[in-house]
Amino acid sequence: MKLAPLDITSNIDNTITKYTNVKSTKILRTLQLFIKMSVKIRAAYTNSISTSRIIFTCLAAVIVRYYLMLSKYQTVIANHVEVSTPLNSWKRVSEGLYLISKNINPYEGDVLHETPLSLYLYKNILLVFQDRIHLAFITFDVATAIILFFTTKKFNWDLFVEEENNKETFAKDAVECFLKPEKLFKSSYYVLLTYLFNPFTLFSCVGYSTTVFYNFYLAVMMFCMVHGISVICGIFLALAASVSFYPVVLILPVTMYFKYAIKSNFKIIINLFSFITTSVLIMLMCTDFGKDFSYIRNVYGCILTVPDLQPNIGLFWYFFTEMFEHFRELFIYAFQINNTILYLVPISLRFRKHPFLLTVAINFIITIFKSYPSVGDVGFVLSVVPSFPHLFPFSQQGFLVGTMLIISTSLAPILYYLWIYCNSANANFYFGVTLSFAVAQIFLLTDLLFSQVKRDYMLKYGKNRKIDGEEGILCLE
Amino acid sequence: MGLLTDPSTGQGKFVKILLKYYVHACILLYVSGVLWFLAIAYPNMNANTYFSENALLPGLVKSQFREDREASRYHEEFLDEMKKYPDSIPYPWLLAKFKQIGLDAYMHNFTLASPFNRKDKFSGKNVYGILRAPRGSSAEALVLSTPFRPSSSPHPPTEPSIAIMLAFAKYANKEKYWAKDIIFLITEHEQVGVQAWLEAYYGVTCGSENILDHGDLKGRGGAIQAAINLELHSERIGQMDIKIEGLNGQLPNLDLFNLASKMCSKEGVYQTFKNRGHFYTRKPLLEWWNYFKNMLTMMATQATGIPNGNHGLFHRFGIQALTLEGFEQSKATGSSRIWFVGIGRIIEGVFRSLNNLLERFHQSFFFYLLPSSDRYISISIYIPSVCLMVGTMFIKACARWFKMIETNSEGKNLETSAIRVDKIIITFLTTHFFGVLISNVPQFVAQYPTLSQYETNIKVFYPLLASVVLLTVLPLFVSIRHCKKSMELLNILAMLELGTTLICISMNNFSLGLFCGIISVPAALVINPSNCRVCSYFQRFLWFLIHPLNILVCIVMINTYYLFPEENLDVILFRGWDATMQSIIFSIVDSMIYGNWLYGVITNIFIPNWLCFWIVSFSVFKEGETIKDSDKEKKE
Amino acid sequence: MRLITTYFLVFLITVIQAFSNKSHTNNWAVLVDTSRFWFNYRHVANVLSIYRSVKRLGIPDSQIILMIADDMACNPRNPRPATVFNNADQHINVYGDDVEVDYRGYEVTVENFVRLLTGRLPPGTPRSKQLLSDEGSNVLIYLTGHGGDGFLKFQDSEEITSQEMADALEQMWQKQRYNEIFFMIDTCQAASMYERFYSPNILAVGSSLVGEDSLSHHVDSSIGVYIIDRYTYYALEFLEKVNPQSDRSLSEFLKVCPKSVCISTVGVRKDLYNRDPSRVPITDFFGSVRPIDILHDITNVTLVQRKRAKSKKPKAKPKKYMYVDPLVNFNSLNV
Repeated sequence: MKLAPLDITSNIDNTITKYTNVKSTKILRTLQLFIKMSVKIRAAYTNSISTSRIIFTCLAAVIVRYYLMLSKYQTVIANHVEVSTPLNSWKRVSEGLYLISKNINPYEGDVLHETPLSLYLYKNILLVFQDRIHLAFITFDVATAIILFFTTKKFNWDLFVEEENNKETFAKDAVECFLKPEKLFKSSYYVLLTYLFNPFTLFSCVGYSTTVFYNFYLAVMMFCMVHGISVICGIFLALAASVSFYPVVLILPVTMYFKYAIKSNFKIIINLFSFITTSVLIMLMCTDFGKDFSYIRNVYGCILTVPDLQPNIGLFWYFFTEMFEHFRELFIYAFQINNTILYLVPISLRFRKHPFLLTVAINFIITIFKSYPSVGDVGFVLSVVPSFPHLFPFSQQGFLVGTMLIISTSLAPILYYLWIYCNSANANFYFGVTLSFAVAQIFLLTDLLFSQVKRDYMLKYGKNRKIDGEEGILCLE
Repeated sequence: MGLLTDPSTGQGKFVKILLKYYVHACILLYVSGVLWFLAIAYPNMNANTYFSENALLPGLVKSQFREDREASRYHEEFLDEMKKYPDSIPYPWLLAKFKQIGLDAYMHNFTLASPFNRKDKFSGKNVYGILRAPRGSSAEALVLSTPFRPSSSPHPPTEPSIAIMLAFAKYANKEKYWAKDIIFLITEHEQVGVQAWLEAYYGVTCGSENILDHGDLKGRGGAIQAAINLELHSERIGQMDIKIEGLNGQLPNLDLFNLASKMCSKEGVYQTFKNRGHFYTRKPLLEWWNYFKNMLTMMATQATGIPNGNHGLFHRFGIQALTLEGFEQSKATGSSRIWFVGIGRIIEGVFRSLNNLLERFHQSFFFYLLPSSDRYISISIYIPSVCLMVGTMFIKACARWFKMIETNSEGKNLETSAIRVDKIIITFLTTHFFGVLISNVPQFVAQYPTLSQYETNIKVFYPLLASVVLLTVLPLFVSIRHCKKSMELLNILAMLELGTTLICISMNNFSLGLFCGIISVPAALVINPSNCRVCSYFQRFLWFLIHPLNILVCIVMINTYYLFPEENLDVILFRGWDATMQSIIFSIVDSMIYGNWLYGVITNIFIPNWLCFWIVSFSVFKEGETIKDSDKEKKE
Repeated sequence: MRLITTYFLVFLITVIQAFSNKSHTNNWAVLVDTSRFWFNYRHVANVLSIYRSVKRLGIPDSQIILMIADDMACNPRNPRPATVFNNADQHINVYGDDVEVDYRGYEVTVENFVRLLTGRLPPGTPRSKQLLSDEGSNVLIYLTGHGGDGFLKFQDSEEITSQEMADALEQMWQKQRYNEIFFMIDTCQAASMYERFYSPNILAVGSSLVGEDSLSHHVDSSIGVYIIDRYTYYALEFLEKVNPQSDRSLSEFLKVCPKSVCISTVGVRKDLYNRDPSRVPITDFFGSVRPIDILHDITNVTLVQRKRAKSKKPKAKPKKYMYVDPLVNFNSLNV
């Protein structure tokens, strides 16, 4: 908005702003920017990653997944509690589908915790892929990765444009932390790499966990959010929420995104409308138009009241096994509130200017504190992190977090084996590991958010942080 | 939020201190780790053993076993019977005896295919009888096992233990107080028999597919809670040794060891651990040295991961088990010998205590070291030594990381030394890929029947050796060794991997983790990407020395020297080399039959990790030096 | 005049005291073993021995509530099935033919125990499971099991705290469910259980002080368990010499287990008890000896024939009371 207009565009600009609405000027401004930007930057954006490279990466990912799925390790991975939780294990889905084929309501027992809609989807997937079901998982996983790639690419572009627009409001000596287009535009490729090759998503896909589909919904939702396709965004948000309930809270950051990044009130309403309509529709379909509500207890009841205390990488199971029964209700409320709405409002207020980061952060919080997390969820949120390369110089705990993640990931299966099979370690060992895993994720998240705060500060006030001649200190309070 | 609040975007105070003193810190930590390890054998650091499970009620009951005449008769009959079956187990006689006593008697057939030549098959038979709990629900069971050894076996004979087992079965069957089934198990072919029986009992396969065909069991008891393996070499026992080390270094619950130990001393037999009994001395240094020696012997056995008795295979199934090995000769002067009555009473006492058990063993320690049979060192005491050592790896990695970032931000304007993350990761993954390949060499060999004409040594060991040796030239093909930062990052990665591996191993098998740590940590500390030629030659030499294969050769050679001190050097070298080959073959066979993971860990993790460091030690870079120079070096 | 009044008062007090010596009209005993599992054989033996003694001294089965958390006699580990012995010589089978266990196994819970004491039992509870005491009852409460500082473990899953115990007794007092209580407890740190008592007329004795363990007495090597606890053993030794006619006093009983033989210190709390234990016969609690006056003059009482009133009874008011369901459904407890 405070661009020094170039000769050609300034005329158009002046004339058009008088007669058209804000939206078209915005497009024009972007156009201006494009023209104004050096050839180098444009080249950096368009040629940052060649298509062949992406295809090659995806192919490599497919091969690795395919090999692992056909090897003897598949069952080992699928049976790990870190990969398959009661909510997402494919074993339970097959069991449920079998029960349906025998005309037994799968929600009568404690076997199945998937919605009827998901079951319907799986049934059709099975019809399409027959006994090559692993291909379905690979397809969805790779599709998620590619969608994430385009999502973050768009996000980075938007970020860059916005900064170019606001450059004049920044402090003079903040040049150092300006976005570096070569690095920035490459980051989406790193997102792709991280999603495809980090062991968490890899194992989640190889272990046939239905988190693969959940991640797909989330990725599509984020894609539509970034591109401003509010209708589909609402639909997929509703889908994700119907599977795991927690994404309901994502409606707030999505709204924020439409408000602050896309600046369109109309889209907010459309998004809300489509979200609510889809949710109601899903509800209607799942309940067979109000006939059968048994799935609600088995899906959302299971998510919210945590009846299945099989160990997983989350924090719920240990507390609820150790707890006296009469405190259970109180702590269920405490834990679920902590998970959903405790951080929602403050973080949303603080980071309203960075709605994409906000979306990632809320999703991150959900992943850490949800009742049945699996490594697939963790892999998803971790793979979005590389799309913030501009924050890395400000981060402090990168090494610590990395080390903690490595150690806890490698110790978890070992201690589980010692506890369950060898009978020599006990639950405390495993819980210690899951706790450190959660702490590592929390460190990563706070580090990321704090880096954003620091960057904002630096852009505004410059590198110099002297308060009364003394070196100032930035604190989280 | 001190940890999360950073004073500045630059380096914090902590990082500055770290960068300044990390070398000192590493040395200090390593030395204190070693000192800690030395100190844990000191009596003030460890404690007397005690029973923490009060349901055991050890030794409260009066022993009533009086079937010693039966035992002697069984012994004589069995010796006669064995003559009819020179090479195999006299199963009809055993089955008949079990039935005569009144047990449910069954036979179990199993087949073992040779791991390197699947066509060669060996079969064996186990015999077992189940005493059903007269008033219990048969939900739980105890096992009394003993290996059958034909007279041609190189191991000391165990007929007396079969005799006493039968006599005890006869006695126990008359009693009405058993709340659990007792399974009397006689196995053939040493550990293979037990492994096959256990796999059949649980319906699982622990090793590779198609090697051990565990067959099927016709009769089962309840969930097995504990097992006692008997190896008595004589009718008169002057010394009873308790063996506990199991597969992959797993140990039974300390309460079981205490129980066996208490029962032995109650019956007055000279009871030992690692062939050493109690010793009383007032000199603290001598006491420490005795404890330390004993602990070290135990750790050496544990570190190999090979069970030193049939009990070791039970552990993986969550069954607490140990071996009672009885010798006629006693080390203690003037100690008395016990006869069948005494042995029977030891068994009776142990089993009646186990019978009292309400839950599975869980009260006492599973992770411990024993400096003597009446003292223990718990995990909280011994784990700091490994943690201190591993800590050095993480501290150094951390310091190096920050140093790299620091120089990175300083040299920002130059933009010369871009870190090629992708290439580093590819290098890292390639080494591990080679590791996986090496670990699969034996499987690969076994699949090719054309190779079956060759000897196992030739077709397994030499390809392995060749591939390991070939891999040492890998650094020459790594292009990033000219980039200091990339090498630095690879070094950090390797250090993190080594640290994590050591922690993980120590959780499973503390002794192995500790020994690996003591050897590899100082060498890994020395390795840095450096452009000083002398330094890097020194690094390479040092790192070459600690190649897993070299260490194995050293250990075996030393062992051979101690076993045959009178032989000439060349004979020792030859024998040592032979033994090295054998040990590698055995560890592969163990991994294929029993699921011993030592071979897998070494080939899949240690060798790739060794390669990573090896590549780092080959880093060549000099400011202003071009690639041509390094090409020259390649030719050299 | 005042002098006369004072004399009168003094006279009155002596009279009352004389009567209050024998103030109770009936005797009850609540005997509880709170721990299960074979290695706790001795606790079952403890409680059954006390049961045997009070029964021998005259309290009928209908007035003894016996709670035993486990069935040692039928434990498969018991080499002498269907018996429980309290002595190594095995000459007294305390689990004889006429033992009536009122609460057994998993019925022995804190809730059931407190409900039993306070009388808040669900309707339809059989009489044998009720403590039907009144303001004239002397109640003997004997507890044995595993205790800690301020609590007593029930089974392996729950515990009663000393405060809960004290509150239960206070409720008993307020509901006039006892005249006097003799509270006897044989656990580790037994004294901590009665420290919180605040209701009157309670004499409490515990086998050990806070911070002390109570120990077992001896092992039966053929059964292979610790067979009885020290304090109960010496208490029994004393009780065996008592018969319903004997005049051994309570103070003798309180000294029954000196530290030299008990190893733990026996704790006694007398401040809530307003009688002198040395004047109270032991049979006031352990037996069923009541003060009986024999009347010599016979009076004939003729029953008066009452005519039925034909007038309409006033309409009964609708009931104000209703039964509130207990927190735990008792039907589900009888597992």
